[in-house]
Amino acid sequence: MTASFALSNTTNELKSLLAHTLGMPQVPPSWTDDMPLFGNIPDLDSMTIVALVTAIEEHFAIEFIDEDMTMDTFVSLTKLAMVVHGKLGS
Amino acid sequence: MTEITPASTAHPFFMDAATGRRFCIYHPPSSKTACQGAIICVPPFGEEMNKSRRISANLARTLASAGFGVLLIDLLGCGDSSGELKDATLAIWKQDIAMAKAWIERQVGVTASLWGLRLGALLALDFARSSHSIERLVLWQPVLHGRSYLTQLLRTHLAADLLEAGRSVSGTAELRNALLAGNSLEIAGYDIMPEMARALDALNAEEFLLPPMRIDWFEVVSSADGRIPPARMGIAERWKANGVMVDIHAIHSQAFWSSQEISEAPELVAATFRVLTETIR
Repeated sequence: MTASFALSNTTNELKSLLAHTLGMPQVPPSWTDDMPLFGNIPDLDSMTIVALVTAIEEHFAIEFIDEDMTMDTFVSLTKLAMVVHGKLGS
Repeated sequence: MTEITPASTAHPFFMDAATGRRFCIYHPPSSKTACQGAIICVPPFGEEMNKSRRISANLARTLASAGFGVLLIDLLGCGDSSGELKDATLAIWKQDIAMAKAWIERQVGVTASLWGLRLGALLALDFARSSHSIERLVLWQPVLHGRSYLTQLLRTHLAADLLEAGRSVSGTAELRNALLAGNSLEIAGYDIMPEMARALDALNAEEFLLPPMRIDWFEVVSSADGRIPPARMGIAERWKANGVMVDIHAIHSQAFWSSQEISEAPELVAATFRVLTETIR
């Protein structure tokens, strides 16, 4: 498995987790990997971000630290996937 | 104290407590069938409670039609009950549960079970381990570690900073230390007091020595994931090893506690109804 394929897989899993957190029955087809999260998803508020982070932590068995809670982390799904990959040691 | 005559409709009322009054909605068991049991809903905290109102009412109505008496209660300082959140402690909330339990057991004459949602599930577990009067718990997406839950609340504070100012001006460790040092903290409109923070930090369901009982644990899983995190499974196994009967039910449904739109999660309601009605003692 190549690194880019693994990153793509993680991004897809993050899409599912985000859709689930937002209460959506499925991932909207309009969601692209490099889509900016802020601005494109109007319902993304502070509680949703925290619920998403918690879901990511449980799903991947990783832990976010305070330093991860930056705009840069959530700038896009791909960037979020890279942060997750960094914690997985991929 | 208010006494209710069983009927087919929900009865909202205020229950007198040692301090103030608690808003309750009682769904009496249908008169068309013999009473099948009594259940008290222990609600989640904050916005999660607001997001759970409809789904709680849906299950309560459905269970009442099948012969269960169901009591929904707003704990001190929450929802429509009297008092401020800053006056609430976990000890008072457990007194509220005890009061609700005594009330509904007088109504229907059977031992009440607890149905806890999110933080309410942790509270129900804490109540059950100390009261030794609970034979059955129903847990919906339980919060299991008070410390982690408090961290999530603190993160909400950081995330609000992030959205407002583009960066967080502090960290969870700093906020937790300030709380534990005696300062209150407002998070998303809810005042978290030092005593509440300390009590949450100390609650770890993994370490609870529960008396013999039956637990039906409903875990909402995403369609892509479909599995329950191993760490959570491990806690159930630990309880089982101590003689507790635990059934975990993985349900593909909406995250009722975090959905932006109010979720009805019909799969979760149906699964809980099925388990409760099929396993009546």
